Amino acid sequence: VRKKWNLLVFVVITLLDAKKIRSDFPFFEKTKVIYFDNACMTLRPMQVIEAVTEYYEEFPGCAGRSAHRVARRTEEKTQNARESVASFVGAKSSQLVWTKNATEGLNLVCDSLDYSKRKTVVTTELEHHSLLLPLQRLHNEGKINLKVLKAEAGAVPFEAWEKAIDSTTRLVATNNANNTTGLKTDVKRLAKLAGDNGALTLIDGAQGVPHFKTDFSRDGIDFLAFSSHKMLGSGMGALVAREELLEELPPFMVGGGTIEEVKLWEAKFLKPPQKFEAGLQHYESIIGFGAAAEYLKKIGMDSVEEYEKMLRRELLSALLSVPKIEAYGPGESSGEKFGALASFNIKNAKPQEVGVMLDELAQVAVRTGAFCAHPAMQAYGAPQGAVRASLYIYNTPEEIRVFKEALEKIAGAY
Amino acid sequence: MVACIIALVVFGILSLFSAKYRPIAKEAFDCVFRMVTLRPCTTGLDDRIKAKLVAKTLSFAPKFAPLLNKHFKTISWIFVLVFFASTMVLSVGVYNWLAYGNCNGPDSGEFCILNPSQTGAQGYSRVGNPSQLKPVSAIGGISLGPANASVTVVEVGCYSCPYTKKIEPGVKQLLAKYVSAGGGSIRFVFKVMPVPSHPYSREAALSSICAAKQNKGWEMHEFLFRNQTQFREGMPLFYSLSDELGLYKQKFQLCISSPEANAELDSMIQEGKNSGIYATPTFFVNGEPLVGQKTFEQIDSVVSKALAKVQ
Repeated sequence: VRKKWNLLVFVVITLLDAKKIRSDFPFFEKTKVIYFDNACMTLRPMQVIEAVTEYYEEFPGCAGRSAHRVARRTEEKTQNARESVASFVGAKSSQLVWTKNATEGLNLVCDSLDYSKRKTVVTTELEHHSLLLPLQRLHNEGKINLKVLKAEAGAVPFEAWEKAIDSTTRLVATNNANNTTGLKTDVKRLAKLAGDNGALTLIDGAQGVPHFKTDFSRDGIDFLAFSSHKMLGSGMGALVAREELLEELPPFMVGGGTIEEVKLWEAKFLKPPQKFEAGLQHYESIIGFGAAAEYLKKIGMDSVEEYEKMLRRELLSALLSVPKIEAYGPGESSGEKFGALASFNIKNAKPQEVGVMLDELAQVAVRTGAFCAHPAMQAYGAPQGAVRASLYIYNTPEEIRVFKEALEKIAGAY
Repeated sequence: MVACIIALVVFGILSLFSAKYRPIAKEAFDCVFRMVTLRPCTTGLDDRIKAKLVAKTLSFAPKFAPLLNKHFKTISWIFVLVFFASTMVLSVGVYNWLAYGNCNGPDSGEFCILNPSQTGAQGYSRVGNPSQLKPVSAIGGISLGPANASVTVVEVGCYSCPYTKKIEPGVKQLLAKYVSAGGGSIRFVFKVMPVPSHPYSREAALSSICAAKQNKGWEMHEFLFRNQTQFREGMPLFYSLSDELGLYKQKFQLCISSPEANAELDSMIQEGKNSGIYATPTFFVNGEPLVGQKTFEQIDSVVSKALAKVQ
């Protein structure tokens, strides 16, 4: 009884929090859309919008170049943002490199690592194309020896990693949360396994960092790439890496802002992270990224994770109650952990049709297709793609109820 | 895939006026092109169209939605075929309307949607109620029968009007019965009221007036109806008709452009407008109106009654 009472209290409190959180998002004042496409792009709270607007209105200058007050303020704000985002993932600001998006961070690491001593890279068939394709290209060019682990019952068992990682392994590359099923990876355990074998760990954190506490230092990760626009911020990304590794890596792209001194035929580069940040940066996005990190810190990532667990339960229960629905990935009984995300199909219906109908019937915005993870969807038995509902802190059980009713109507038409 | 065909036509036309429809038109074109080259459509446009339609149906007629969803392809094909068939019929109709002033063709008396008043007489009255028509005088035009006949039939018609042409055999029967064989028991007057939207309708009317000035009014009347489908040839046709009738050529040509002939015609048109005429032919039997294409029997019946009344 006490357990049930506690759960009830938790649900009531979290729902109240969700209502308060929703009031921070102007999107909900302007539209009645039920936004379930957060794995692609999240909405932005006023705090982020105001931070970006403040840059445009009050100090729209360059950072780290000029000495005037506008530039100094830009420098100060961007430095604050670097510290906010780095600390959000348990890293130091000197370990964080701004990137265009998570894809750029993943490409930077894959392309710049030295594979001369160890050539093996281990990954899984469940990865996003942003990680799989750079590795696939290196493999096809003969620069690495790529091992792709197969999923069993929707997940890659840890034993498969244990078998694959050995003394020839240079890099272990995977996600901390899967973008097709929400399946989480035990990153700490994996990083330890890699470290014990002398291998480095590259984590695609695009789907994990926004949804649960990711601690770069505690988890022993070597490289962590993630994006701002999937965690309430502006469109950009970041790469976090151990400082000594950043020192070793050659700059992926060179230009203004990366050098200490340049002569006609040689250049001396700055220390990381600046040596990787060529050209003028997207200061407004950096500032927005920092504001988003602060916003999530204020809520607390443990609360975010707990709330999403409840949403996931509601989402799955709604999906499984609708006839003709086939959900993908390992079930809850597998003991795996998931984010508030699920991919599914309605029997005989094309995913794109279901997506359009959800939008038309109940203004539910979902993603359809193969989610830039074709091999993963093939592994899940849905090569034609699926419908993905990905939820976040501002979504509510009431929205899931509307979503379920719309799905029931659609399923009835097939 | 089938829905893309309709989408191509619809969005292709819309994209001429608004750039926002061009990507959809391009998508539809790609889809149709792939279909024609026996490849599957990969744009997903057809799926989106289907999904939108099924979703709309789910909102207002949920029971019909599964049926629409299941037979969407068949229904789409039916719509495509109906669409092309109706487009073809419409094109023919528009051509007929432009060429003959009647969308059903030169010899048809059927209702024309492009010309709902049945006259195409833009600027003429659209009263549509015969009881509101005022009688037209028997002065002017071309006539047959004694001036003091007890019954006067006035026909207001147009040489380019297929309905006026169609009633001509009936008029001839009427003339044969009451003017030639009947010993001149009625007076018949034909007054011309050209339909402005018909090509060379006014020129035909002037030809009739000018031929009448050379005492060949009825002959020209007959020639004009016989050659109604050739009016698009314009003035050369009317000049050649006047030659055939043996009219004095220079006099005829001068008459066509003369202020007198034009004033005479304008006077008849104005009289028609004042009367409230909204369709040709319109008959007045001793002032009683008969509008539209009537049979000989219908006109004869009214004339007989009028004769009985005066005797």
